[in-house]
Amino acid sequence: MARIMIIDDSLVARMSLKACIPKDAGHELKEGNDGSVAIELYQSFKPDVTFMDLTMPGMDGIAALEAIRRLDPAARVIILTADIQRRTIERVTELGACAVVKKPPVKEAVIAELDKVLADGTKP
Amino acid sequence: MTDSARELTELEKDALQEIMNIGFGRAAADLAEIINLHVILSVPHIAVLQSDEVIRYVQEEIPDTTDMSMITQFFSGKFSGGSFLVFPHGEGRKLLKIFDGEMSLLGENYDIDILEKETLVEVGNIIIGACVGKIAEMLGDVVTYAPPRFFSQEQIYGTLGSVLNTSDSFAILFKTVFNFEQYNVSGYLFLVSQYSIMPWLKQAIAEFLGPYE
Repeated sequence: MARIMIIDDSLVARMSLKACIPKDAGHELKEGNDGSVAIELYQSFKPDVTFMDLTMPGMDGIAALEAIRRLDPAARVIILTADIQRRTIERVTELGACAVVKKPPVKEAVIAELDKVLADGTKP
Repeated sequence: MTDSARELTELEKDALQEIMNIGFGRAAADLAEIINLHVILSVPHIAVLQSDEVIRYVQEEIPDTTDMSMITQFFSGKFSGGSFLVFPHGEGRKLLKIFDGEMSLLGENYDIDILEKETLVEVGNIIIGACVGKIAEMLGDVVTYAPPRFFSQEQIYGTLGSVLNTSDSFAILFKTVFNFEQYNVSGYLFLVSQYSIMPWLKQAIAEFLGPYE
């Protein structure tokens, strides 16, 4: 069982990601719709893992990732994005993202990354 | 068509925005591979508007077209409509590097205005093709394209006006702002589709949402 935070401005994107997370695993989920909400929620909810979109109005996912990693250098953040350009992936990896999953989320890919991140006690 | 069939629900709009987001993201990744162009895209905006409201909307976004150029390209399929890519005038010179890295053509007897125009048309064609194609693919469709056309400055609103006046009274507007990072070039991409695609569009959105409900 893990605490999982989902940050995406799109209700449909949050809904589609939640549909990929096994319901019987007892994970506790919280969601937000932009980067600034992510930072607040990160501090109150203290998630084990965060799924973060990149392209959001207001504070985007890159800025939120940077801020969260400053708050907690051990934060585990999986980027879930439509922007799958090589340079974008390099950038978020440099900023400490654990993994990049492309949209739309596919159950197998989400579970594989989630299991990998949760099994890895040593954070990035 | 009933009133509910004339509108997109909030969930459908959100789904369409997400489909555009994914479509543009994939298109951007392809562009990065094909022409080494890293593209930053804004959150897309979607609205169902009357034709005259589309022109007003574009005018609010781009109040002065004195220094703008526009590439239009029409597409047809179940997803059909027109795409309008609006750049600040003169940006073609920066983008020329995509095709002529050494800018060697500038040293030859080519008319720079024609080179700029041809560059914008070619870049426009690639971007529109990638973006529209990916969105159509996400919606389970394949589209065909008419050749791209170039319009400058004062021709822009005349062209938009004539296109929108001959289409349905309502239009579905899709807008994104893009930025080619390494060239410091920004522009707008508007897709305008006819109201008549609405039944198909709603069905395609429902099919996209199906696995997640």
